[in-house]
Formats: sequence, structure tokens, C-alpha cells
Amino acid sequence: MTQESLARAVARDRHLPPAATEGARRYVNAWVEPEALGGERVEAFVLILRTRGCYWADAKGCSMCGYSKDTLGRSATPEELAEQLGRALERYGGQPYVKVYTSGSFLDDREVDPVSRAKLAGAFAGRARRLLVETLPEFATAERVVPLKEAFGGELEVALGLESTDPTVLGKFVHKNAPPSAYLDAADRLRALGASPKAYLLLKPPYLTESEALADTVRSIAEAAPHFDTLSVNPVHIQKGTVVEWLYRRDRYRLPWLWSVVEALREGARVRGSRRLVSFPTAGGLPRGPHNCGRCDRTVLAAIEEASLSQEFEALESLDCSCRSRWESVRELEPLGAEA
Amino acid sequence: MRVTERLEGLAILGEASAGPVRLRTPAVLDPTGTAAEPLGPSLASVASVPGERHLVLGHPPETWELRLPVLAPEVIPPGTGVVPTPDPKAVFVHAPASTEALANLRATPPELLVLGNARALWNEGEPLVTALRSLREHVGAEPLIWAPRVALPHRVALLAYLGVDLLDMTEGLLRASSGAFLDLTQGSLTIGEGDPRPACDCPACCGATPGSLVDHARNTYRRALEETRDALRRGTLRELVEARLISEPANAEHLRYADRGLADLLDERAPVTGTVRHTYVLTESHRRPEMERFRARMRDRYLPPPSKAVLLLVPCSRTKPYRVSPSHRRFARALEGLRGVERVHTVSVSSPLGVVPRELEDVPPARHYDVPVTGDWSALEQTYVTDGLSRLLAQGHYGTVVLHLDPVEYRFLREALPKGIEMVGTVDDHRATAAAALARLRAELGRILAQLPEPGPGPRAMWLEEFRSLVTFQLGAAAAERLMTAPVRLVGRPWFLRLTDGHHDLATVREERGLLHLTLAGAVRLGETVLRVDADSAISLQGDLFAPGVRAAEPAIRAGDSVGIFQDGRLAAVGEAALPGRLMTELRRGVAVKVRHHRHPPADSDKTDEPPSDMTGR
Repeated sequence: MTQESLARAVARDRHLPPAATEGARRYVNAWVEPEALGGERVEAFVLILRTRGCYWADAKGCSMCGYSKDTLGRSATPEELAEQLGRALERYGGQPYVKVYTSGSFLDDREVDPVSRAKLAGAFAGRARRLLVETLPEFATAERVVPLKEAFGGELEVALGLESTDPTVLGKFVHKNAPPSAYLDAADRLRALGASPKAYLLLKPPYLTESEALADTVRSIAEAAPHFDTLSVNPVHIQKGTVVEWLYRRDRYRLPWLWSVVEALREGARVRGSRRLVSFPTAGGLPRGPHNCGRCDRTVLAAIEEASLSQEFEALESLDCSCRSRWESVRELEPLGAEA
Repeated sequence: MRVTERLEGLAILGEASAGPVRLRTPAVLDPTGTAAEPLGPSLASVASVPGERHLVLGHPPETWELRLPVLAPEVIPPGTGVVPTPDPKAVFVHAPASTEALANLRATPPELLVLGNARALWNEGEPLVTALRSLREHVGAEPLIWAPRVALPHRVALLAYLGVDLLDMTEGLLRASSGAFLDLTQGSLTIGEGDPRPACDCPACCGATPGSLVDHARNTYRRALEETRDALRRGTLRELVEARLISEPANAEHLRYADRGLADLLDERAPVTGTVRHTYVLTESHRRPEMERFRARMRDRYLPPPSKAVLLLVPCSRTKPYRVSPSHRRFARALEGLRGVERVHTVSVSSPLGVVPRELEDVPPARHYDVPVTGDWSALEQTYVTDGLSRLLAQGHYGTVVLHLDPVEYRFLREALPKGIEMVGTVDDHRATAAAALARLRAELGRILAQLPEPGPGPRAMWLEEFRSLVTFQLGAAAAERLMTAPVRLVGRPWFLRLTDGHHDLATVREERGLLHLTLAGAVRLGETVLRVDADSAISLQGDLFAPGVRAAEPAIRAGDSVGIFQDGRLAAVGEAALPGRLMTELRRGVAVKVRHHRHPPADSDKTDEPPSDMTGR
């Protein structure tokens, strides 16, 4: 390895040329997914805006994140953002839960300017009960959160990609820009501002074995619980143009087992206090997503979703498959190597 | 500290300490630690914090706690690649590591080098060989190298050959738990549920209800280690490595990378002597260090006896040495009694040695090799022959080349001969041993010898010239010049020759060894061209010289070389190197030189406090 880290080179490769104007007028994706809201099963409307993208991904980037492929490489103009919103609203069916993501921080002015933010929140005001946006912790400030909350009027939920409460995991393996304490402080701030903080926790960042990853997530659940209202376990999936993909191609990264997600929820349920603990694995059961042997993936994923929506984790205890013993061997043997 | 019993390739069979744990090398660490008869030390992990692996190595109650860093070099640049662990006896290396940082370890070498990214290096290919090379080159032979999670049973012999002392079963047990059947010859086989298992007679496979694939895997690792150690004992590790090449392409790739990238280290570790008969079956066999060395010395050092006027090229024979084979005895009989026959230089054409002059037929490995012979010569084999031939023709004084060789099979050789030289073929479409061919050989040689312009030096002088060619091949031209300066005489029988100056023996050659031993007088003659070992002056050389007593040794020394041992700058003894020169100072224990002749201490020695049978260093 040269003195330049691969992460740096990957970040540079990802630096895209400014997208054509046409692309800037279309959002990345929108869909409807099952959710729970105040103990009630609801549908959630998910919208991903096309923006400048995460500034950190341009600078260094996180080892597992390849979302900058969905970005413009320049700030979107208010008109472009308005057009993206307009197109999305055509598909919006009045779902009570609305989640708006950019491939970065919704609260970063370079991605979504304050006026467009307020406009978007206003568009869902009175129609949705809860609005979720995601941001890096440094943008979770009163001057950004308060106007947004006022424009929306309903419950504002702000998600932070905490990933892990371990400074080594977060700094060296995930390669975030800020230490875990910055995320915990931001969560406390958000709560004080009347927003509901939600944490994304990353299951199995690179350089962790299956058992280390599981322990890290369970510990993170326990340590984040006092600061957040919702804890969401996100098992890693392989995104294009990432360090994780580079390692995966060289047989140096193995995707997490769904058994580990199950175990993280089971063990996490005991330490979460009264917080919501959920997991909706992206690419679950697929070759480049968290998976088991292939035969049990569907059943296990359904059980994970059911537990996340119902907050009843007992049903997870009864899951079984012949591949579970393989997962146990992996947990036992993997730590005997030096590097993954 | 290591105790060395056998060396082959970069492997060391022996004992070593890893912290408080004593173990035999090479070793395979057993992750379960529950073996009924543990073959080596076990390996266990203890939960630790992220960024650190806490491992326990050893045989309870003797265990060694290792705390290894987990680097994220693709994300955070790795620095020097050499990371100390809490125990200074263990050092973690992430290759490629800084040469300087590695060299800093040399002064007090750690007992264990953990090559952390060995598994990734294996997958990348050549970088593994490069990494192992830089560890041995800069830190030396003393530290144990552990390559975590690389070994599968079919890779054990190869990894040992590359100098990895510690292997572990982790990867194989992981694969076995996912349904892989580990086989020494066929590698890691995926078998479906319900499919019959491949034949195996290990305890896990031969019961009425077969045991688990994991148990089978452990048994297979055990066999792999046993066969590796056994091959090391016999001096046939390279054959075993080659036998395992077909198990997966990576094995062959790594051996080829090693033959190229570690050629000098493999040469260094290969003794110049040897009496084990080796088989050279694969293309990879041709590149074994002893073969490379023979061809290199032939190409770079060898000088044909100057009075030889006719070069007679003959096919090699299965029987070694060639001259006692039925075919070569017929060739000799065909020449018997010819006037001036001593001026005929009989040289055998052979793969993969190239060309073997008669006076070198006993030099290892010429006396101890077997190859498959079909009459088909690969391009590479042809090159070995034509390269050797070029040297002969460039350095010799031959007026005529006689090819007593099948003209079809050896057409490449005929075509490689330079245009100007007179060439006579004595075999037509019949075998070289056929009566007609032999008669023609005698007739042609008789004619050629009769036409030679000046008479030769006579058989006795020719004998000396041939001996000188052997000395040149073994020691180089400068040393041969000094050793063979008149007055010298050869006495003895062909199976035991002595070179004397009329009063003292200078050197002796025993036929089955093929190489000469120097006497003290011979070493004196060599002067600064002698292979030199400097020993501690306090040591008596009545016994062997041990590694701790060696102050310096020439890196050119190979095991089996005849060396001079110096004390206080004076030649004190001569002997046969038991280790290559660099290992004499890199290793801390073991015989360095088997002393053959030593100067008797002067009667009025000022070191009267030194006991006469001092065994210092033992």
C-alpha cells in the first residue's frame, strides 16, 4: 500500500463531473415502505434528492459509502430542487411518515439551501405526521433545525449516521469525520430543540470479524440508547466504488450474516431501554447484501422486519436453519486470524 | 531461540521458542486446542477491544499471549508496516514494510514475526514471496514467521518451503464448516450434502458413520505437517512441494515466484553436497536451486582442460555416474587403446543439467538425479544444453566436435553449433550403442586423433588438467590457480584422490562426494581466495565450530563448502560448512563448521587456562 490511503484514492475517483442539467431536475429515487408510527403500522414515503452530495465523501469518505454516485458534484439550484420536489409530490400519496434523504446531509446548506429546506418541509406540512431527514452531526444546529421544525409543524425526526460508539471503529474502520461524542452531543442538542434523534448503527464495518462486529453493534445500542429515540441497525451491503467493495473483491471482506442481525436485535433488545430498535437490511438476502445460506434468508428477513415493526423480539428466538452452525463456526474461528 | 536440525528451501526443521512456548518447526497451530494428541501448539482467541486481536498461542500450561493490532491500511496509511506488540518478543508486520524498520529489528531479533496480511498477500500472488523475502533478508533466519489463516493442508509443504514456520488450521476449519473436503492432492473440494465423500482413510472418514468434515480437516492438516517434516528429514521437501502443485494453481504460481524472486536465498540455503537421489519431473523441477547452481557454475566458472582437442558429445544415461553405465562403458570400450585418446573430452548431454563434462560427473547433483526421458526436448531444456555448449566451445581448444548422438533427437544441438568448427556425426539412424555406431565412433576418432598437429601432454598431465577443471568449477578460477600451482601431484585411486605438493596433502576428493576437501596446507595455498569463517579466538577448534563462536562468515559459503577457520587473523582450522555463511551469524545455536583439520596449539601456548577439550558453544 502506498502512503496514500485507498480511501483517499476512492474518494478522488468518485468525484464526479457536474451532472447534466436534466439529471439535476430529477430526484434519485422515491418509494413507499412499511413503517411503524406511535405503535401503529403505517406506510412511509421515502424520497432521495439529488444534491451536491456529502462533503466528507469528497474529502475522504467513509469506507462503506458509495452514495456519491447519486450526486451532482455541484450545488443544486433552488429551482432544480423545487422541480425535484414537484416531481416527488406527484407520487406522494399522503403517507403519514415522510423520509427525505440526500446522498449526504439534508441540513448542509451546500446540499439543500435553507429556503428549499423550508419549502420542502412546508410541502408536507399538514399532510404527514412525521418528517425524517438525515445529516452529519455538525449541521444539527438550532439555526437549521428550528426553521425546519417550524415550517413542517409536525414531528421532526433527525437521523445521524452514528454507526458505532467505538472511536476506533468509527475513526479507523468506518472513517467518519467526527468522533462518536460529536454524534451523541448532536443527539442531545436535537432533543433539546424538540426533534427526535435517530441513530443508524452499522453492522460489520470492514476490519471487524463477525463476532467483533456483533459485539460492537450491541455495545453501540447500549451506549447510544440514552441519547436517541430510535436505533436502526444497518448491516453493511457492498456499494460500488468503496473501500469495502475493494476489500470484498479481494476476499478480505465478508458480508454480515442475517444471523448477526437477528442476534444484534435479540441482544440489543435487552439493552435498548425504552427506545425503538429496528433493522431494515438493504439488499438483504442478495449476494452483495447481508445474507445467510440462501434457503432461510426470506424467512429470517421477514422475522427481522416483523420484529422491527412490532418491537416484539421474542419470535426471533425460534428461527433456525442448518446454516446457523456455520455462522457459529465463523464467529469462533475468524478472530484467530490477524487481519481480516 | 532456534535449534536447527535440517534446512531445505527456506524451511528449518528444528525447535524454537515462541515466548514461553517451546515448539517444533514447522508447526501448524490447532485452533480448537482440544486435540486428543495435539500435534503442535494450540491457538485460541480472547475477546478484546476493536482494533486489537488478543490471541493465546501454546500448549497449556505454557501459553503466550499475543496482542496484535488490526490496521486499516486501505483507510489509514499504515506507516512503516512494522508494529511492536506489548511483548517485545513478538512483532507485527504488515507488508510491504519499510526496509529500515525491518533492519532495525536485526540487532535484537524478535522471536516471532506475525505477517498480518499474509492471507491478502497469498491472494495477490507475488507480493507474498516479496514479503517473505524482505523479512528473511532484513531480519534474518532466527525469528519464527507466522502467516495467519493462509494454510490449507495442500499448501503446508509449500509455505514451509517458503520459510513460514507457523501455520494454522483456521482457514481450513472455516472451509470445512461450510462443507469443504480438504484433500492433500486435490485441494479444497466442495461436496454437496448427501454426496459421497472422496476416499480417505483418516479416522474421521473410515468409521461406519463418517465424522465431521471439520475432524477430517484437522486430520488432513496433521498429515500435511507430518509429511512435510518427514520430507525435511529426508531432504525431499522440494519434491513434496512439487507433488502438491496440482492442488491449486496458486501453489504453482507461488513456487514459480519463489524460484524467481527468492533464487539467491534458495541458492544460499541449498548445500553444495548431497547424496540423496532426487527426481526432476516437472518444469518446476528444472529450476531447483541445485540445478540452477550447476548450470550457473558451468556457464560462469567452468574451464575445460586446455589440452583437450576433441569434444565428444554423448547422451546421458539413467545409471549414475554416467561412466559406469552400460552405454558409456561401450563408448569407452570403443575408444580404448586409441593413441592420444586422453585428448578426447567426453561430455554428456542431459536435461536439466545441460552439459556434464566427464570430470564433473560426481559433482552434485550430476550423480544423483532422475528425469523422465522421452527424446523430446522442450525449448527450455534445449537452452540449457546449448548454453553449456557455448561455454565449452568458447573456453576450450577443440578442433573437432564429435556428435555421438541421435541426429534427429539432437538436431537442435547440431543447429546451435557455430559454423566454423569441424563437426562429425557418428550415429546415423541407429542407436548410439549399436555396433555400427560404435565402430564408426572409433574409426572417426582414430582418424581425428591421428591428424592432430602436436602431441598432447600425456595421460598424467591430462589427469591434472581435468582435476583443475573440477577445482575451477568448485572454487573458481582464482582459487584453482593458487591451489594448482606447481609443484602438485595427484595420487591415489579414482575413488579417492589426493592432491599433494610432494610433502603434504592439499586436498582430497572422494568419488561419492564429488567435491574436494581442503587440508590446512591447501587452505594456506588459497590465501584470500579461501572461503573464510572468523571464529572467536577463545574457542578450541578440536571439536566442531558452533554458531555462537562465529564472528563473521562469508555470505558466499554454502553448506558442504570447504572453509578456512581463522582466529586472530590466522588460519586455525579447515572444515566443512554445516550452514550457509549468513546463517552462521544469524542463527544462535547449532554446528556452523564441522572441523576436519586444526592446527595443534603451540606447546608454549599462552592460553594455558583453556581446557584442551573445550566444547565452547555446545
